[in-house]
Amino acid sequence: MSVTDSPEVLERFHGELSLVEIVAAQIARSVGRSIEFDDLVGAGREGLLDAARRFEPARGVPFRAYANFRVRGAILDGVRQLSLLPRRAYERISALEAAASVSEGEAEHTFAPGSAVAPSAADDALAEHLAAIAMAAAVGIATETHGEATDSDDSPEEALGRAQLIQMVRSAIAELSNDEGELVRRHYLEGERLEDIGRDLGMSKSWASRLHTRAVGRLAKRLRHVA
Amino acid sequence: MAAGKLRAVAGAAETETKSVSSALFARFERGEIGVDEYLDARASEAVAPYEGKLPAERIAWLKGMLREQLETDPVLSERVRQATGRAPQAR
Repeated sequence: MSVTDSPEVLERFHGELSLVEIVAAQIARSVGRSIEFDDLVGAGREGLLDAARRFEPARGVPFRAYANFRVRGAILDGVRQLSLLPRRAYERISALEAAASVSEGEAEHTFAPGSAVAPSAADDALAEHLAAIAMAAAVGIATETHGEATDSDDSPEEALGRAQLIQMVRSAIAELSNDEGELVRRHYLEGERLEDIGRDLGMSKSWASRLHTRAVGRLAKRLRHVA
Repeated sequence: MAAGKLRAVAGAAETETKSVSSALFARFERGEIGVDEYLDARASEAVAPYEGKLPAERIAWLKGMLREQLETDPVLSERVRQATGRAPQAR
């Protein structure tokens, strides 16, 4: 924290400190490694402070929801910087990063004033959003190349399955608009950061995030039906 | 597969998927299944396209991860609340 942080920033930070431990525990469970929990909490608190400073109430997303994504991102970044992990751990980190990234791009729409919908419409939105997250996470797993391979990693059949999935994604990307296709291709298949691609394409970070979520939703629909 | 044919297949299959999807929610609304069963089914449905493309162990992990996200991801948990009237416990 800095002496220049406003009382509002400090109030947001202290008011949601419990969120850090909740998210850190989820990630520790998901990654399944004996990672030092205190390290995760430390990274998460930095993410929370960053969220408290950057929060824009006018966007309509509750602070706890906004902070959830920032804390999650900071912890996952921190885990990536640990000493070399097995391939499987990196796959899980990629999948969790992809899931958070897809959801973050949908947050403003979900929490916008007047966005309350009938239960059946919410069910449709839930199914579509979950399918988009699953697609992004599956591709994150399939394309992850970091980490030490172990004996239990892919058999030739499993390697073929991954290659088929990546080829399906490549084919489906060809049906997206130019910007959507470039965003998805460079992020998932070439490993570039969304904000860097967005900057290249002249987009704000938030617009790149929304466009990414929309593109992934379209890809998921196509893959669901040709898989 | 040509792009036009791909779109046609996707369109027809989407109609079928919507109807299966609606049937699941209708069962939940009629009280035939509870919230947990409904969310389990949603997670299974989401990973189904990747079965056979990723190893079974990764699919199982992915499904478990999605199931947890339904209770912890702010956007998903808000949709769960809107659909079921229940705010997930781990929110």
